[in-house]
Amino acid sequence: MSIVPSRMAIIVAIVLKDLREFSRDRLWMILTPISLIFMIVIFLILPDTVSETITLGVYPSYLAESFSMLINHEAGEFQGLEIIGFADENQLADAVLDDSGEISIGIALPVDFTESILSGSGGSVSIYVTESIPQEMRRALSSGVREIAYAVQAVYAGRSPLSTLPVVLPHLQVRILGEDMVGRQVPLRYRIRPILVIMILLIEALALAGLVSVEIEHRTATALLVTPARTGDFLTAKCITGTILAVSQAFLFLLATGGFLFDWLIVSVLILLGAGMASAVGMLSGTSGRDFMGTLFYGTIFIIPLMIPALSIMFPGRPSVIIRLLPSYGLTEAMSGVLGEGRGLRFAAPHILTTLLWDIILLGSAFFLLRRRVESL
Amino acid sequence: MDPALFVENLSFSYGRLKAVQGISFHLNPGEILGFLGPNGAGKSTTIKMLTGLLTPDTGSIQILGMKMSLDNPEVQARIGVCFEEKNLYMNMTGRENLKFFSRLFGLKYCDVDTLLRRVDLAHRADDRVSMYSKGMRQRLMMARAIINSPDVLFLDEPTDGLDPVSSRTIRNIIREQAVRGAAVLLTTHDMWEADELSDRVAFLNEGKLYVVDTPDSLKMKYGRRSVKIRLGGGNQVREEIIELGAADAGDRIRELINSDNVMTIHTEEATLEDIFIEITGRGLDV
Repeated sequence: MSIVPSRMAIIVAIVLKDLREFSRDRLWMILTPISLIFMIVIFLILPDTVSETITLGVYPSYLAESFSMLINHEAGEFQGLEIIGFADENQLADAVLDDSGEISIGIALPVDFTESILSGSGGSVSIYVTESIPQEMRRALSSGVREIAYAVQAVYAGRSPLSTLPVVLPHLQVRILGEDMVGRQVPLRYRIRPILVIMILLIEALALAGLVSVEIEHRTATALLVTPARTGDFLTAKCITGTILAVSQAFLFLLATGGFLFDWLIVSVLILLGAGMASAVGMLSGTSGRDFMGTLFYGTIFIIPLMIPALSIMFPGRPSVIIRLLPSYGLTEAMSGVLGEGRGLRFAAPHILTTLLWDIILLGSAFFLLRRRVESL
Repeated sequence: MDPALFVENLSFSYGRLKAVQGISFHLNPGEILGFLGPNGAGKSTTIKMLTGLLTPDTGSIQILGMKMSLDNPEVQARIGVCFEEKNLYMNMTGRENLKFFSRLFGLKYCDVDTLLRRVDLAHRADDRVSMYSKGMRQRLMMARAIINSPDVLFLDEPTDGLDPVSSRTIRNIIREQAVRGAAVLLTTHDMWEADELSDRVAFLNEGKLYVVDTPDSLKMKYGRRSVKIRLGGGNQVREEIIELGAADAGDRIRELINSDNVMTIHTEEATLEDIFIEITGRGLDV
């Protein structure tokens, strides 16, 4: 004789069944660990330091001191440029090409540079750069070399005493708009971490979408609903399953990449909110698709907009209004701030609230649509 | 005796299409009611309403004295449903499927092995359902439907397209459930099966319920009571049909038997299909 079990017992039974089904799905059982390992590897191979110093190689080496004098006079305490002298021009060219990136730029002046300038023949100066050095920097270097030529002429032609050199220029002030990150830039590895977390969450959303769509496609949902299980139990169980899948993966990733070295409580809250969003996306995708390909299609439609704020972190500048209106923006910003820059609750709180609001809206929509779909089977 | 299922003036429309139009009937404990009708007659829609999956536009459903609804677990705990589509969890084994549903019904102890033996699946209990044949899946569906020893059992085309062995297993289980005291509502378009199993049959066509009665009573009321005798003599074979109600029927039959020319004798009892066509004006296989 059957009795009516508690709602909790029913929900637990459905969640355990879902996890068992998930563990039997070859696609997700392969895709989930591979994607997790892939994300961890991406994180680990990216540089974990940011070099804010450009090293300039100069040939011949005796001119390196003159360069330093000139630069330091202009830049004062600025430590962004290091100058190293080379005794051989070929060595300088090799050093610039070297993969270690120790020398960013090389300037090779003729040995008789001073004489050439003074005689008016000019001489030939070579600037060595790799293709990664932007055009602006190349132009700046050319200007720098011309400036040196003026200075040399002034000194040796006796137009003014050495102490007055270099030519007095108008006072320049560098104004930096936005937040000046000089000295505390976030390495690429840590900048990309929120993207990887969000990608992991959304991959698990697809896994949940698969579970939901199978229930609809095979109409197993109707078999559940003619037992004491109610539609609400079914929906709650799906939400819990999605959250478990997403949280566990994100947790493992952050554990492997040191994400919990930051404020673990805020990080945990963010993962939970992200998992809630992933569950909503999973349920919406699973509800919309009629089969696996349909689910994948709708899953992609939902996931791409949610990835955009995460991708925008990689680019400097303030994101556009449209990006800021996307549901995952708050989550991405908070993750980026907390995991990338070590910020605290004061920074994360408004983003947490926004994400919570979006979670409520998305989960509410997912519950409504999935309920309608299941009850119309 | 209070009916296990009481249905009154039940209607449902899909948009403009009136799928079920004001049907009323009841089902007693231990009774098998064959719900007969062609495809599209409204059988599955009726089952969906009776199991709470659809909310009727009009009418009421009472199961064991309780109002039926999807959110009434008290009722759901006491019914069993075997759907037409094989809605099983394909990546789980037969045993896991049954154990999962036993948990949903709050069964503290459920002898899944006995149930699997009853449906001849004990030897494949730990295989995934995706590896089962159609007949095996249907037998597992049947086991799932009776896992909670339901008081009311809804069976939607349970033997449709099955091999004779699977069909016989399922028919035997249906009889056992009725003997146990369960009220069984069986939808089918197999007239022979309905005749074989049902205590009463209901004819449904285009959403309307035409008649609910016992098969014998319907045959008496609508069927022809006659005997067809085939006679051979010389090179000629001829048939003679004798109406059993006629005054001289007995004498005529005796006379023909004594003539030594009788090759075969058949009763001309009407089938349920004949009666269905006569009442509704429509065949069952359309």
